[in-house]
Amino acid sequence: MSKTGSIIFAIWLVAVLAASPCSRAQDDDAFDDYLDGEEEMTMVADPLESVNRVFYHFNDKLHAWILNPVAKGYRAVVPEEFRIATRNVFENMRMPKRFVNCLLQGKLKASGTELLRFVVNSTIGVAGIEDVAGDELGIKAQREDTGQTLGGYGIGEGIYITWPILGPSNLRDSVGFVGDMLLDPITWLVPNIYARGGIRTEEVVNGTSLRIGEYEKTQAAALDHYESLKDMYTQYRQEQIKR
Amino acid sequence: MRKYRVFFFFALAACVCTGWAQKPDNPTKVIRRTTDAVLKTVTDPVLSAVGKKQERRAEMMRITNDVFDWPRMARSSMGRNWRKLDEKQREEFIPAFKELIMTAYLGHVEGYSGEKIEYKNERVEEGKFGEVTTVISTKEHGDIDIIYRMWLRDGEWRVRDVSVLGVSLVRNYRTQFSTLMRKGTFEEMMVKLRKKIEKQRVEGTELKGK
Repeated sequence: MSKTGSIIFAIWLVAVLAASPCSRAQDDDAFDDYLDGEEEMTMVADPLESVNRVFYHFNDKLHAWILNPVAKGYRAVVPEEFRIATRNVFENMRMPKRFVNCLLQGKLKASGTELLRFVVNSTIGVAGIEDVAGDELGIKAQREDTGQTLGGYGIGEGIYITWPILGPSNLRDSVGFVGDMLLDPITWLVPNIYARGGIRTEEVVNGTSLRIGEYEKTQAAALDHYESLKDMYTQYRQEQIKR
Repeated sequence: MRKYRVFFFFALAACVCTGWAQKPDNPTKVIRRTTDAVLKTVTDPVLSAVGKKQERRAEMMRITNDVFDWPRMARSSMGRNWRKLDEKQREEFIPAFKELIMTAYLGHVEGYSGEKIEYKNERVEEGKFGEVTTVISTKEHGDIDIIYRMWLRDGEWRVRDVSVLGVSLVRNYRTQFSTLMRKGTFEEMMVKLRKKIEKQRVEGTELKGK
């Protein structure tokens, strides 16, 4: 057989093999191996599971019996525009956290974006009430925090932790949370611990009022809600760090 | 040269038969078509009326049925445990899994109230694995990324996983199923699964604002 002939024969053979029914089984097996790889990736160590589950139940009841009813009442009284404005003000104040962490991750352009947003939203947006930069100019917030910076430096999750009240976290993000608190102007501007507690409570209630029913939806679709939340948190954070 | 013409003819015929003949729609087109059709049922004056939930859901099920590769999603969500299941258990698991996901998914879709959907990106690898990134702009939560992971099966692009804000649905269920299979039996897991479906069916929400 000449060279051309063998090439044509090879193409034909490959085409026929590709069309044969066995390729599907091969695909499936190759695909399963690929998925097994994915499975390893998402696993997070959970040696404190029994304690975490206790706190999960505590938080679950806290949500169902207190936070959710309060947020629903709040939603009934406070118009949506006002609640979104409140959220925007809090977001705007958190600029230092995002700005510093952009810098620490070497994202210079993103840190510039944060500064620009802060200037625009604090002036034209009147103390951050309106997200003019995001809504009108398409300059979106850079959702960076200390936990992501640590993750970007190659620090792993450590172990999974469910904190009472605060909810899902891990060792790395718990350290990150302390960093975020130090970069939060409210920590410095409001020295009175009760006043600070009040402000943070308002923020949580306001935020929850914009997400009514979402927690319940994750619960309705889960067979083991604790595991589901743990995995959601882990995947979400891995994705944020990757960005 | 003459005798190679026969080979050439066969090679061409084989190539045509294996795929070039019916060129499938691209992944984005499939997602866009399905999304549009599903959202139409939510905004349709007849189907979105109160008390029309059954008809609406049936219509949505019909639209999404062929686009989602249910056996594949069920299999992936079982991960390694899939190999431990016998044929009967697999046949029992797939429709139950589908029902659980669909009930939850449709509940989310029914919360739609005119948010803008953008088809941002499409990626195709090796000609058979595809990814479509869509962004939903919401007033309450800003932009939400939804990625449809697809693959080409039987000449059509089908969804094998959906990921919202970086959280893959299949992976999320895989961690749950593997925990349940580790701590108990397949039968116990199925009892839980059925209870969940029943509960969702009873409590399922009506359309937003109705």
